[in-house]
Amino acid sequence: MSGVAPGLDERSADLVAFAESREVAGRTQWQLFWERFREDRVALVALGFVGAEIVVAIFAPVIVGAIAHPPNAQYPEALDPMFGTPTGPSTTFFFGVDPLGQDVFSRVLYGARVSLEVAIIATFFSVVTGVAFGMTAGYYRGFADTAISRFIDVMLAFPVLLLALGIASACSIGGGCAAGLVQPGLTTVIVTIVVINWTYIGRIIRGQVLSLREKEFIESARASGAKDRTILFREILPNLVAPIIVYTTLAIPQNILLEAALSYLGVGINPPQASWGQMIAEATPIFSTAWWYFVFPGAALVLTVLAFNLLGDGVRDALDPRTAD
Amino acid sequence: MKLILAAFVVVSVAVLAAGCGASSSSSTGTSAVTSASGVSTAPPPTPTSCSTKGGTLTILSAGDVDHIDPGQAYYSFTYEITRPTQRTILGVKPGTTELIPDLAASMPTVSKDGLTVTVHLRQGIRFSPPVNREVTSADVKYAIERGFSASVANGYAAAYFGVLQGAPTTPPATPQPISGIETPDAHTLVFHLTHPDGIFTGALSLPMTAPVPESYAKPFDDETVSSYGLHQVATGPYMIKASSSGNINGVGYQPNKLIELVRNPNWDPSSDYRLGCVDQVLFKEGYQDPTVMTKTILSGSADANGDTPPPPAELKSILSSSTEKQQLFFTPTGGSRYVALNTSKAPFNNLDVRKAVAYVLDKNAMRLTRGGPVDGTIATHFIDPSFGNEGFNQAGGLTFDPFPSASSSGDVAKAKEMMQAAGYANGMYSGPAIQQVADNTPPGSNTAQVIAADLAKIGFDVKTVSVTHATMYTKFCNVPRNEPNICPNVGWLPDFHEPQTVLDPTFNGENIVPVNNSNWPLLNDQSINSAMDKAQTILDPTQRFEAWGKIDDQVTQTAAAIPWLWENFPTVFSSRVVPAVMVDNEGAPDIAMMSVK
Repeated sequence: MSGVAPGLDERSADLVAFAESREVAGRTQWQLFWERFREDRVALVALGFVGAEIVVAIFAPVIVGAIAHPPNAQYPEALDPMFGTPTGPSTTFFFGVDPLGQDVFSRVLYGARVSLEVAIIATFFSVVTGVAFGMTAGYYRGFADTAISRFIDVMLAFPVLLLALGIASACSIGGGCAAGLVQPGLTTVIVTIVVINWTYIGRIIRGQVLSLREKEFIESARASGAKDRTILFREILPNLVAPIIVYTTLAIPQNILLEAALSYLGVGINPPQASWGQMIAEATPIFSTAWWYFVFPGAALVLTVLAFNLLGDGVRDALDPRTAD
Repeated sequence: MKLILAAFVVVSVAVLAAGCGASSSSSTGTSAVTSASGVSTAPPPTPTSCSTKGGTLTILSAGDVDHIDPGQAYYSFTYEITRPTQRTILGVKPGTTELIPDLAASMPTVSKDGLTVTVHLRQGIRFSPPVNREVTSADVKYAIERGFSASVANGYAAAYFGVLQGAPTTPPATPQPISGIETPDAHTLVFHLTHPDGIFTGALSLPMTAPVPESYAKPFDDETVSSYGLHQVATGPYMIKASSSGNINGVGYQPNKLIELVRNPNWDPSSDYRLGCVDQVLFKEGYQDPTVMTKTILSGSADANGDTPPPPAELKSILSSSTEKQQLFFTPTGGSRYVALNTSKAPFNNLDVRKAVAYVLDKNAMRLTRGGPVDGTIATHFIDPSFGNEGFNQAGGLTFDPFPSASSSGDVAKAKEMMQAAGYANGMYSGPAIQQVADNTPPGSNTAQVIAADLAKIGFDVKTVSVTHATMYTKFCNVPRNEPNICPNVGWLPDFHEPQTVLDPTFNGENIVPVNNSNWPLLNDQSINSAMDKAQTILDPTQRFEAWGKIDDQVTQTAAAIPWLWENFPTVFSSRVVPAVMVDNEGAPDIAMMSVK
């Protein structure tokens, strides 16, 4: 612009020059998110813990190979030779051994792999399923919506743990179920969790889509001749990312607990594969004589779930500060 | 019969001696021997009278009986119910393994040629309601005949009673008369045998000889699978609680939940060696957790363990308490626990592969899953030490071990050698995964895991199917068609004090039956079969025990089954009862002799 208006003092001129020299860039949603998240100490610690745990889980075979024993190897020499009862923490077995002489430290680490694997895979599939159904129901309305919504209502009416137990029990014996497609163990647990969980995210997404589709930018996209498919993936889905992330970070710890519960009840991960839930189940009756077998997997489970929960809280707060109080 | 049960009795050799001039040798079989761990295996003193009359006993178990029908029962836990409810021709003197008359008025007499056995029954023994009438010899005859039918399918009928003249060689669909059982009058039975049989008298103590009223039972026995068990009548001090029409299903017998015994109103105490002190016995089933079971008993809320031993941690804690120690008893079972390999299909149809398994198993670790040395001696063959001089030494004693390893922990190198001899390069198995069906509760589940880990050392991928102990037998291991490659949690106790009862039902190829089969390895070795058939006819006890000792050697060397424990079974009682154990039944609680203090 040509010169300042007559009468403005020098300071204002400096300000204008300053403003002209720098571009004011609008910050994206993600930059805002990260800035808010960075301020949340608790969430950062939780993120650090989760990150560390994922690293440990990925490198468990290396760690265990270096300083501990293979998780499924039995060491009867570590049992009391008189009664066969397990011995506690020592320099060779950091967390002691279990009644079969297996290294509890190694099994806790490998259990982390199982818990994280199951939680992440199962959550991923349940989110994908829920989002797909939710988007279909919310966008297309009509018969599709009615059918899907009523089906979700029916599924939600089932008592969760009983339904999980039922599916898991049916598929845990012998050759599995669904004509052998669902084998006992990891597959059964993942399938059970997916079947239980997709309805929650499905409902949430449907609600979000219902409100989004009425917004102006959708109308304008439709007016400009965009196909439904394009609208769904280009316009609606990006706006769903926030609730999906929030839901995922809250669902993962729940699913870790669900896997532990199923393994505790004997219909989840089968021995000799290590699973925190199954270890806790075996440790409960001998707690008074073998506290280590209960405490270490138990602590691992509690800390993991707590970390994910705190992380999820932090993510939700950072994404949507209005709900932070 | 199947472990958890030891029924060995002193054969009243005196009778046979009178019949065939053989030298008599009797042993009591109660071995108050201190086991290697220093823990006594002496049984509690046998009660001679009731401390109090009345009260309720509670026995806890993980699983159910194998069959509620006494004509089908072949499992030590089931005998805890048949012994107090069903009187057999011969019984067992409490606290011993000695045979005494039960339904019989006196011990049976055997003819000089050994082909005729005569039994005189007591008079005045009556059935429980709704039958109520007096027991006659026809009822005992029918009981034995029905065992051979396909609808009852008793697992030892052919093994012990196949010697009867006219005994069917293939099972008839429904009970048919056997000409070799004669009933000249209502209280006399005459058995005609096809050849002299040294052990027939001992078989008269088995529950298949408990009387069954034919007119009442026939409608049930005519069904494809007999349902008489659900309507059974009793002759002992107790009966399974029944409706007025005799139905026990849902009344005194709730499968997998509860068995309730009440007093048999028609029992005459003066005719019986049993005391029958308490009024009611509850068998509470479904206690899957042995620690909970043991703690419940120690707290006094229950009185004894029916089928599951206290786990190692509990044994340790009980033995370190001066009061609780008094309530724990170890009974030599007379039998062995073993791992049965299915020889009818690959890979265990190969002798070298089986030998490899015999070498690789860490028997010491397997024993630790049950509690270590207090639980018994590592087994090296099938006839166990409590047989004493008769049979155990003939079988090679403690020293005979065809597959030795340092401290019985297994010899992986030797195992790999065997695998190489079988044709597997590097000594590692390279075929498809194999299957074992195991208990789903400890200690059996832990033992199965040790076995799977040991087999992994020679390359086997073992898939474990976990089911209840009873299901493991009735649906899998006892049915040759459904049998997996390995039955890891099986064992066998003598049915009575004869080595034949340890080796014949379990390893004679002629005793393989399509259901209720006890020859789990499906071993059918002609030379072993004929050696056994020959040994069965030996009347002289010493020669007989020697012959069976050699057979034990032969069977062990086939590695069709790998014995690993000669067990001292622990039984724990609450402090409110006077304990009594069936010394001939693995130390199982003898409820007909127990009373509340």
